[in-house]
Amino acid sequence: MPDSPRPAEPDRFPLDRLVPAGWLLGIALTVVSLCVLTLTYDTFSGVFPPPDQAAPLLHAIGLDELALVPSGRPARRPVISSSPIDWRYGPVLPRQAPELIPLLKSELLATPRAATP
Amino acid sequence: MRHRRYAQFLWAGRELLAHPGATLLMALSMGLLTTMLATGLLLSQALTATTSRLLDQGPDLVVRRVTPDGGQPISSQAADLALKIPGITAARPRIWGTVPTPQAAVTVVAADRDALGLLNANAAIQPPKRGDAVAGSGVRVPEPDAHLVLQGAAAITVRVTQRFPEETDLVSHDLVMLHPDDARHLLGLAPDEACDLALGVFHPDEAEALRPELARVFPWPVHIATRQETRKHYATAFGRRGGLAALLYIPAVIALALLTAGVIRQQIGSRSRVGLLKALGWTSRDIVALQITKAAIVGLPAIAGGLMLAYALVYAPSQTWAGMLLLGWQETAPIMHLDAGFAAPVFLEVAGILLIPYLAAVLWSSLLQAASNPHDLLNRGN
Repeated sequence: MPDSPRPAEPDRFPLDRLVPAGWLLGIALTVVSLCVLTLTYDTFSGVFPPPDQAAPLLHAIGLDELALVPSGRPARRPVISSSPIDWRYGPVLPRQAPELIPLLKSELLATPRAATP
Repeated sequence: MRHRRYAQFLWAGRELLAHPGATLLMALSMGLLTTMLATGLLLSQALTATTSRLLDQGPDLVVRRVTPDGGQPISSQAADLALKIPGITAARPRIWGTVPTPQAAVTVVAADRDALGLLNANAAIQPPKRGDAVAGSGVRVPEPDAHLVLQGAAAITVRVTQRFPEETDLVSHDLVMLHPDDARHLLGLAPDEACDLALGVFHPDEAEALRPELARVFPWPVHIATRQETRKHYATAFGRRGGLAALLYIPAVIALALLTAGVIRQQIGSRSRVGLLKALGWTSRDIVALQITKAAIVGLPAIAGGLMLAYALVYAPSQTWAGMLLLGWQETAPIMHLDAGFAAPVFLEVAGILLIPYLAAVLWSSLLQAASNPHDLLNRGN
């Protein structure tokens, strides 16, 4: 007795030529999911948490500069490097820029008076 | 409805695979552009966050005696003067400087026995004896005897007996720690002199307010640097570099959008084909949705993959390329263990910078084709 014909499956698509497309979708979905998972995990606990040994050592040696730039370069000491620009607005002023109030009180800018007998 | 959407995704994938070369090239170009853009921004953000975290352990204020010729040593009694000011809780004379060696310049610092005793077991360092030194991983010494010649105000030779752990490279890569007497001799300091003064304050926010009082308490002119200033200098430097890198890639993003528009037009095919699809019952919405789906199938994984590659490049342990390429190190560079706590905003920013012009290009190209009348499309052909 011949086999009865398979019942129609109206809800299914003919996937024979679409299988590679399904693989493509799967790969795309996997990559995006991995990225989202990494981002989520990183936000809460960090994927590559940095070791906590550098900070105590910096405290122990008491320096305020990091070894990001080789020693001897101006960028190694961002704050205390002497600037090549002379910021003084008058050549008779001290090398360090003075604060405003002490400057006004100083004799340097005092209003000259006429000589009194 | 669910099947219809599924079919649309599958059909989009099938159409993409009809042009595998163009699809692959588009994905690769988007992924590489994402990696380059995200690497610059992530590195800038990570360096800023890491330096900020590390500098929190440094001194709140640094007082340096200055003259028109530059810095001058201070006497160790200067610490007592600073401690008279209310709010100053700790004052530590520092002996340190930069000196050349036959290979490269190094930063020399005198060991503080009390401070080193507070280090935990993982980073335990024994204070060096006279003639000995503790060196960072980037300080090269001849193997057999491990002698290091330092040429400061006087030349001395020390033997490297310990190394700082590589995990502390961001602090100690080219650092040499000496016995205080050796350091003074090397830097030309008298027995009671120090290079500058590191201060701790009761409340870090008070540091700025203490500057005028500090300037008054010392009998010589001083330069006072706060931790906030140091942090700001680092943040400004890294932020500027990251911003410039992002600006450089804007033309590349525009070029990618134009290229995408061209490829989409080519992939949609001739006008008659669009007209045929519409005659078969496809709506304009279907045609646009198909193109958007195709763009998403290519663009989203490419951007996600590019972001993950950038993440691995910046945050992976034992990463040294940034020091070599961007920060001036040559033969050796510090291993950068960077903080990755705030990568999410950068990810979103980069994804937005790339996705918005890309999807706009796709939408515009698709709308131009899909909005035409099918009768005209079929009659006029190409």
